[in-house]
Amino acid sequence: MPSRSPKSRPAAGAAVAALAVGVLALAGCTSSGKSGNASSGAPSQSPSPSTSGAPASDPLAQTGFIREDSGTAQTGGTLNAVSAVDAPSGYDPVKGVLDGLTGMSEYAAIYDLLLSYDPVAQEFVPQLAESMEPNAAGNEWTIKLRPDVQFSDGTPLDAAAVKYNLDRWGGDDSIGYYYPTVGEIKSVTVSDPLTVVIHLNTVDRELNWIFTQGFGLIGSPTAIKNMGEAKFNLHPVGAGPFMVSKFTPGSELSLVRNPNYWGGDVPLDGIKFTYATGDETLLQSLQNGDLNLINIQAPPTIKKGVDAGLSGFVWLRTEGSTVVMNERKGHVTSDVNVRKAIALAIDPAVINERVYNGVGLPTSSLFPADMYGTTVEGVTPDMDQAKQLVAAAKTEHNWDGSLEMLCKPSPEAQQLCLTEQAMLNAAGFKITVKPAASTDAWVEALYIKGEYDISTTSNQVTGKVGLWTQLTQEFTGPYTPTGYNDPRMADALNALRTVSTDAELVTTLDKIQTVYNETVPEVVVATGRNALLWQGIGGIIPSSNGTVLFNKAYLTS
Amino acid sequence: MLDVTVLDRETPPAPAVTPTPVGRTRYVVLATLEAGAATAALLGGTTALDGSSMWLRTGLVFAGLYLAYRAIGHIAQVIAGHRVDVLLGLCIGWLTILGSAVLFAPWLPLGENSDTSKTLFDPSFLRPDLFSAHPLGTNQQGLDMLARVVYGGRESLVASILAVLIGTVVGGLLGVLAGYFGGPVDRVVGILTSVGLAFPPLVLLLVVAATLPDGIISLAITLSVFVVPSTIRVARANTLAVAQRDYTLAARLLGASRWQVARREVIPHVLPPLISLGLLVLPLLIVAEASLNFLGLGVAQPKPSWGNMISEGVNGVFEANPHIVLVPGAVLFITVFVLNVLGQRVSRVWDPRHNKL
Repeated sequence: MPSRSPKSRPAAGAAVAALAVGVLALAGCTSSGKSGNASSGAPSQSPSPSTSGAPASDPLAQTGFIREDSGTAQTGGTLNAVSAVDAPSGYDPVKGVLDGLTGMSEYAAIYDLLLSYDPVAQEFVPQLAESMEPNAAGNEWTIKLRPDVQFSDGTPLDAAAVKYNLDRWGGDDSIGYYYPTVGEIKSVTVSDPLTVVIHLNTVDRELNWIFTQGFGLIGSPTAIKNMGEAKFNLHPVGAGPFMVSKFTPGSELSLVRNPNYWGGDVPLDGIKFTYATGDETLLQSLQNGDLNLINIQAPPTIKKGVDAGLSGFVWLRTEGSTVVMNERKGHVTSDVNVRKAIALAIDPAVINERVYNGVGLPTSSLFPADMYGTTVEGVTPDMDQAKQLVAAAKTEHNWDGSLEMLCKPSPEAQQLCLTEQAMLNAAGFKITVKPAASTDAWVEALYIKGEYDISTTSNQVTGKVGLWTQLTQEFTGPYTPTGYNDPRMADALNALRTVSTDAELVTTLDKIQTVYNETVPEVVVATGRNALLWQGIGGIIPSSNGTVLFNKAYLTS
Repeated sequence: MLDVTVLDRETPPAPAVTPTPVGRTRYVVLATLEAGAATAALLGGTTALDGSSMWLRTGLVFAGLYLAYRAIGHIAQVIAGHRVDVLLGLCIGWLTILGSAVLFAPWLPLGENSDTSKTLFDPSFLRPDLFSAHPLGTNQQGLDMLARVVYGGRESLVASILAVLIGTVVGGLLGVLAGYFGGPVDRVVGILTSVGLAFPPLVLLLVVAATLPDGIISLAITLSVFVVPSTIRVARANTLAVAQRDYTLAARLLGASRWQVARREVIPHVLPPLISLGLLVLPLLIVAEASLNFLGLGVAQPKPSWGNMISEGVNGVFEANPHIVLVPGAVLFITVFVLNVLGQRVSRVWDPRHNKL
């Protein structure tokens, strides 16, 4: 018998280990059923329209609480939250892009709001203001303030302070985010120390909505004047339930309880906000106990969190996932037929199956019927028609179909881009997916420089009130990433300001949808969910557009 | 001119032992038993015991593989009449299969690897089933994992091999220049090499990868930055040794110019250790290439590379669909292991530390 080489043993072991990895890869992967994941199987090939919105049986298909809070309320402690998708550079309201996805809840914790909005009861709720009422004509609004409210620096929050803050929106300090509303305000006058009157150039019966958002944030005029706008942006002073103890832009915002809060005792000692993205990672951090509250959007991750028994609140928002196209001169997507081809090629149902594991809310409608009761639907996907339009555009523009798709740098966004690329390429486009180097780079290319051909994004339009403000910001003016500017859309949107009944609202929304289908300012592929999930806390009060109030929030045992 | 014979003294040739008929029968019986036990263990570990303890199945798979390895060794011994290096055979076999697949990929009956418009209605995340149209399953976009592994191998191997070639040529030439000509050239090259080696490799790779445009050539250049400094060191050290040898001095005395000596005497003798080094570095570069692609620098989806295929497992995908990571991960692991084994074998032959005059 030949002698065994002493060197053969480790080599043999290593070889077996290497082979084992290969076989285990297959063994571990092979399921007994040997079939695709049930929740992500083959999408339907049916050419039927994908505009039906959410199935009725979907428990996440409506705005509301997910389940009752559990546990015993405790006094004190610090709540750890990630509530902002994009980290703000400061907290001066007139410098912010304000909504629930960009830190509106932190603003509300620092400043409180003149009004909040109960998204379940669909009612306005008095906060710093005792009331806000229009005149009969709808062109003048009167705000009655709560007495004896002070900012955290001890100065009074009175009518003069409110006027000072409202005037700032149209001043040099402002980045002009609320330019539609600023444009309709003729003047702001102080009637008495607790009464402010807003005179409008036009009728606006839903002006109060914006006071549940940025206009409802009132900073201390004394602090603003003393510090100057730049310093105030980093050291904001308001009359909210919390005060800023530490703010490191892009990293951390620490708040401590305001002992003089007008609304009574605040249960929490403080809140620490950190800024992070990646829905799966955030969910794991929440479940590990590292965080108490997260803000996520990916439908499969939301469902996973809800199925795991987490509490939370979900806002449905139209245009939860959209494709925007650069419509400025020099871009082939300035041709409405190219935009229509894109709308016809993209099937929301395919995206729902492939990207959202079948638990999204696919639609091509700006206002889905099950949310708004509308009768006009979005564009129905039609690949054959899309191919014809692409072929015609190639000839007309002497163009080979090439477009670059700017993609947000996240795993969810990448799969969305790849799926949309697949459908567009099938229609004859030649789409190159270009992931942005960072979220900042994506924002800069899309919203600031306009250096892109097409891109995926999402918008934050919620509820039935405040639609004129929200949609006007989107489809006209400086915050429109597309350069879209169509007078027919402006006219259709303006009608929202005078709507006073549900029937009028439906008629107006149908008209907007019709213009939308004809002019294709963007392509909607899904209604979105803006989900705040929490664990180990309670007392969170939801308000409008993804905002929550923390004045009653508490840690649980 | 003196000639040099390089002898391998490290690995003695396997003794030619011809088993007796009794011994042969014993090996046949042993191999048969081992093969049977291996088959049973592998079947049990992969399919028959589906649903039982993962540790039990893992143990069975390892045991089955070890027994299969032993059986192959005994069978080969019976056939050849002496001990056979099974590991070397398996490594060469793997590289042959992989190399052939990568080379002839366009002509193989593979599924779609990157054109998502052709797989719009194909199932996502199909699990591996060796006897189906998608033996290694599909990814989220319905693309065939086997095809992606093969085409991804093209990207990974081509970029890495190209990087080794660039690194060997550039580093080798600079090293020979520094070692043979010495003086200011040696000092400048020495400083540059020290600077190159002082940089943290991953940081350097990220910086270069982020600076260069996308594409396989850029990726190869990026990876070659990893190779050049160490190649210079090895080339320079070997050049210094070769330059002192008698045959080099003889060539000089016979009137050959410095360039002629460098070209005809030095470079041919410096090349083998550089090739050996290249083979040892190649698996490292494959891993580095995969790391860059995992981080999103390199080959952009949906075009596959082993690194970007592994990165598809992020965001909870791996937990629900392990094959998305395990398939490219296993291929990457085995390839790197195989190249390491071969690199070590080659270095035993060509490494001057193992040679005697």
